[in-house]
Amino acid sequence: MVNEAPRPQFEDVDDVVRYQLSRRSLVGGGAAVALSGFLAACSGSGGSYSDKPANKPAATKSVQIGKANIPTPRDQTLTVAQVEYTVFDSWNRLIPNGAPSSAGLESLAMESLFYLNLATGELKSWLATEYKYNADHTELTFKLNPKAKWSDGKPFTSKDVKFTVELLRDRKDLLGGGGDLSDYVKTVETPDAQTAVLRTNQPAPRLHYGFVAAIAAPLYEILPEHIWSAQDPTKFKSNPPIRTGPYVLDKPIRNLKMFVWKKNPDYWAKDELDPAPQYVIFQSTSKQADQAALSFEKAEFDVGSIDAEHAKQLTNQGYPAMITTQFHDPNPRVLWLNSDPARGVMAEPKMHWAINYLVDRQKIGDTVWPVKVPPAIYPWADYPGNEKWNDNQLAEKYKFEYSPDKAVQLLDEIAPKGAGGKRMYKGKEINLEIITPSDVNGGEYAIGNLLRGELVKVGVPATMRSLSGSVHDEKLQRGQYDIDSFWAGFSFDPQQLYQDWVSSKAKPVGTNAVNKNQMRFRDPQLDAASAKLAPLDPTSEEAKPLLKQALESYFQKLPVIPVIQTGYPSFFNTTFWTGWPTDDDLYQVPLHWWPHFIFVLGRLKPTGQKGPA
Amino acid sequence: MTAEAPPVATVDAKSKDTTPSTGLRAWLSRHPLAAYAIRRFGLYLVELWGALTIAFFFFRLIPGDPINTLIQTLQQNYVYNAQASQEVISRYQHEFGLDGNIFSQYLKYMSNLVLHGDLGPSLIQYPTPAQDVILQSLPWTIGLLGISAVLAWILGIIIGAIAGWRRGKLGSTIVTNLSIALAHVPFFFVALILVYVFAYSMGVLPARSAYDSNLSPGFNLDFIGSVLKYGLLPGLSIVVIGTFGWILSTRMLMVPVLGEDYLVYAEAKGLKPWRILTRYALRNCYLPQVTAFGISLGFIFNGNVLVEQLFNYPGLGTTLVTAIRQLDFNTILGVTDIAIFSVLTAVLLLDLLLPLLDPRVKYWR
Repeated sequence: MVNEAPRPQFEDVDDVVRYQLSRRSLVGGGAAVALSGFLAACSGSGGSYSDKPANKPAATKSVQIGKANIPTPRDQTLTVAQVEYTVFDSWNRLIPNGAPSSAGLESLAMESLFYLNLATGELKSWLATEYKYNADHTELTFKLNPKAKWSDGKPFTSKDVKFTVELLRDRKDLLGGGGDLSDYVKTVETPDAQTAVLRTNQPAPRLHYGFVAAIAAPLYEILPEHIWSAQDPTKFKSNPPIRTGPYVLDKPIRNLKMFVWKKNPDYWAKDELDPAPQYVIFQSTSKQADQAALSFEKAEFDVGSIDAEHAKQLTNQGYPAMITTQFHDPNPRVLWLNSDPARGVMAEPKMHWAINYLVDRQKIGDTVWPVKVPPAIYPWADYPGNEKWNDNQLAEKYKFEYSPDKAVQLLDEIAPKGAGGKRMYKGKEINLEIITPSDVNGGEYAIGNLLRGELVKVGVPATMRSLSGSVHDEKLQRGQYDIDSFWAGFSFDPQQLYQDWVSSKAKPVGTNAVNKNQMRFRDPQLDAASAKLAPLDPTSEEAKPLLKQALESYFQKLPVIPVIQTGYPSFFNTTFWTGWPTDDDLYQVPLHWWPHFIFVLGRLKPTGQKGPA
Repeated sequence: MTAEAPPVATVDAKSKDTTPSTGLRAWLSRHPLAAYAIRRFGLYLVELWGALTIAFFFFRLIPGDPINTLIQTLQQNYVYNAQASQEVISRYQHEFGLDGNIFSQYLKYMSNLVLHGDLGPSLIQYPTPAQDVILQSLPWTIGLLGISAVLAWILGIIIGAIAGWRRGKLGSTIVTNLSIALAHVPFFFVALILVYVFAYSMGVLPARSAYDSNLSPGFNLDFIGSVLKYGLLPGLSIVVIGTFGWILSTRMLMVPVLGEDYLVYAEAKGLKPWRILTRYALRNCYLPQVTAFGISLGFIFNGNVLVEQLFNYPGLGTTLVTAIRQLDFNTILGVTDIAIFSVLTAVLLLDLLLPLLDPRVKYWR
C-alpha cells in the first residue's frame, strides 16, 4: 500500500483541519449524521409495523413457515413463547422464585381439586369429586377422585391433602402458608384414602376457595406426601416435578430458555382428557416486538408473544392463520384512594365522589385501553358467575357518571377556593399525587393522566408519576400516595374484598400494609357487615341483606373507584393446531399460563401441517 | 549484599544520600519496577474497595423492598395466589441480607464477599447463589460480546489507521463518512435489519437462540459450529457498529501524527510505507485506544441487553435486567462487582504493560 499524498514537512494545523473537516467532508458528515439520526429515530421499540387499517381489504396471503428451533417434531409440538425464564432446576412454588412461572408447571403438570371456568361459570371437579360443609361450616370434606395418581405412578390420596394442609397451616414462612389455614384449620382427618376432612375452630364457609383453580393456579397446590415429607420445603427443588397432570417434564434447556414437556403415557385421566400435542414447549422469545411478531407470522410458535399492535397489522395484511380471542382480566382497572386522615382531603368521602365524577369511563374504555372495553361499576369482573353479586338498584342509586359540574359542587363544599384562587382544605392547599406501576405507555398511566387533567381543570393541582415495581409497591404499602391507578384484586365473592378493607387492617401511613387495606380505609358500617358475612355462605339468603349493606357502604365511601373492565386479547396461530377458544365459542379461559389450559389442549386438533426440515 | 551502585542511573545525589542500604526500602529503591508495581497494586486495592462500597450503597438507596415487590409481582401476574405473611417477608429479608441497618448489611456483605467469595443467594433463582447465576450467563456474554468487541477493536484500528493514512482518497472518505453515519446507530437496530434480511427474507441464518436445540452442549465440532452459526448475526451487529466507532477514533488520532518529523525522517531513510504506517505512525497513536479498550471491557460484562433480548441470547445482560426488575440486590451487585473488578484489573494490567507497548513510558524513573 502506498500513500501517495505529499508528505508534510511539519504538523500543519490548517492541513489537519482541512483533512478533518473539509467542506465536502462536512457536508458528507452532516448528511451521515442526519442519516444516523434518522436510523436511530427509526429504531425505537415501537417497531416498524403500522396499526393503521389498510385502505382496502388485503388479499389473503399464505403462511411462510419458518424453522422453529425446537428439539421435537413441529407437527407434534405445541409451542408457547412469552415469558423470560431464569429458573430451570427448581419446581418449588413455596419459596420466592422457587419455580419458573408460566413455564408449563401450572398449565401442564399441576392439577387442582376443582376448576372454575370463569368464561362459562362452570365449576368442574377434577382431582376431587366433591366438597361439602357441615351445617355450621366448621367441617369441610373433600371426596377425592379414586383414579387420580401422581406422575410417578403413586396414588393421589387424602394423605397428600392432609400433608399439604398441615404443612401450609404450620409454616407461615412459606408462600401460601399461614392465612386461612392457620386461622381456621384445627385438624385434618383422613377416614379413608379418598376422604379428607378439615375441621375448623370457627365457621369457614370460604375455605374451599383455596383449592379451586379460578384465576391462575389455586392458592393451595396439593403436594405428593411421599416425596415432600422428607424434605425441607424451603430448600427442596422438586426437580423434576412430580405432579398429576397430563404432561411431564422431558427436559429444561437453560441456554435456550426452553422447557420441553411430553405427554405422560400413564396419565390417570386419559379417558377424559387426552391432548393431541405429544409435546408442549414453553420458550422465551425475543423481547423485541417486531422480531417476536415475525416469529409468530412464520408460525414458529403457536401462542404467546405477539402484541395487539402487531396482531392488528397481521390482520390488516390478510394473515390467514391467526385467531383473536377476547377475555376480560379478572381484575377491573381501578383507582385506589388513600383514605387516611394524614392525606388531608383524600379522607373525605365527598372527595372520592368528586374524583369519581371526573372519571370518563366511556372515553377510557373506547380510546385509552388497547382494545375497546366496557366501563366497570363494581370492583369485580363482569363474568357471568359474578352477576349474582351485582345490585343494579344500588348502582342506580349511586350512579357513576362523568360530570365535572357535580365534581366542582362537591369540591366547593369541602375545599373551596381561597383568596389566591387555589382550593384549600383545612387551611392548606390541595395537591394530589397520582401513582401507577404502569409505564408511561401503559393504560393505567393513561387513566391516571386523564384524571390528572380533569383534576387540574377543576382547580385541584395533581401530579402523575409512573413508578417502577419496587418503588410503587413501597409507596402503596406504606400509604405514601393519594391516588393509585392500578388493579382491583380478585375475589370469589365480595366479602373476600371487604375482609381486607376492614378498619383493623388499616395501618398508619408509613407502616407496611402487607397487601391488606393499602388505602387505609376505615368504615364501621363496612366492618360490621364484613364481620357478619364472614361465617356465612355468601350465596345464602341470610347473606344477601348483608352483602347489600356492605355494597352500599362501599358505594357511599368509594375507597376504590372501578374504571374499566380489562380486556386482554389472546392470539393463536392455526397453522399447526386448530380448536382454540374463540369469541364465538369461548369454551374455556384462553390464557395459556392458567391451569385451565389443559382443557384447551384437550380440544386442539392437528392440521397435519409439517414443519420445514 | 555488595555495595554496588543502584541499577537506575537517574537517581539523583540527594536520594543517593538518603537511600537506606538494607531492609525493604533499600530493596525497593534498588527495584523501582517492583516498587511501582506494589504501589500501583495498593492503589488498585483501594480503588476496588471504594468502587465496591459505592456500588453497595448506591443500589441499597433504591427504594422498595424486594420481597414485597416479588410477592406483588407474583400476585399481579396471577402466578401464585401468593399470600405472604410478615413471616415470609422477615424470613427472606434475613436470607438476602436485608435486615438490620444499612451499615450492618454492608459489613455482612463485604465479609461474605471478601472472606468467602459469596455474593449471597439470588432472588431471581432462589436459593441458587448469585455467583452461580452469574457464572451461568457469563460464558455466553464473554463468548459473544468479548469476541465481538475484540474483533471490532482490531478491525477498527486497522481500518481507521488506513483511513487516516490515506486521508483525502475516495476510499478513506467513504469509510469515514460511513463511520460517522453508522457509529451511533444502536446495535439492535442493525441486528433487526440483519435478522430481517438473513433470517426471515433469505432464511440462511437463525433468528434467535444460542445453538441448535437438537444438540447437547459439549466440546465438539457440531456444537461449536452451531454456536458460531447462531452467534453470527448478534455478533455481526456488534462488530459492524463497534468497528465504525473505533475507525473514527483511530483516524482522529492518526491524522495529527502524520505531520510529525519522525515520519518524514522515516520516509527519508527509505522505509516502506507499510512499515512507516505500522511501526511509526500507528504505534504512536494506538496507545489511547488500548486504554479505551480496557475501559470498555466493563460494558462487555454488563452485557448488551438489547441485542441479547432481540436474539434471546442467554447472556448476562438479560440476567442483569431481570435482577434489576426484581430488585435482586445480590445478583445486581455481583454483576456490577465483576464489571468493576474487570475494568480496574484491566487498567492495572495496562498500566503495568504500557512500557512494553510504548518504550517512552517508564513509570519507575
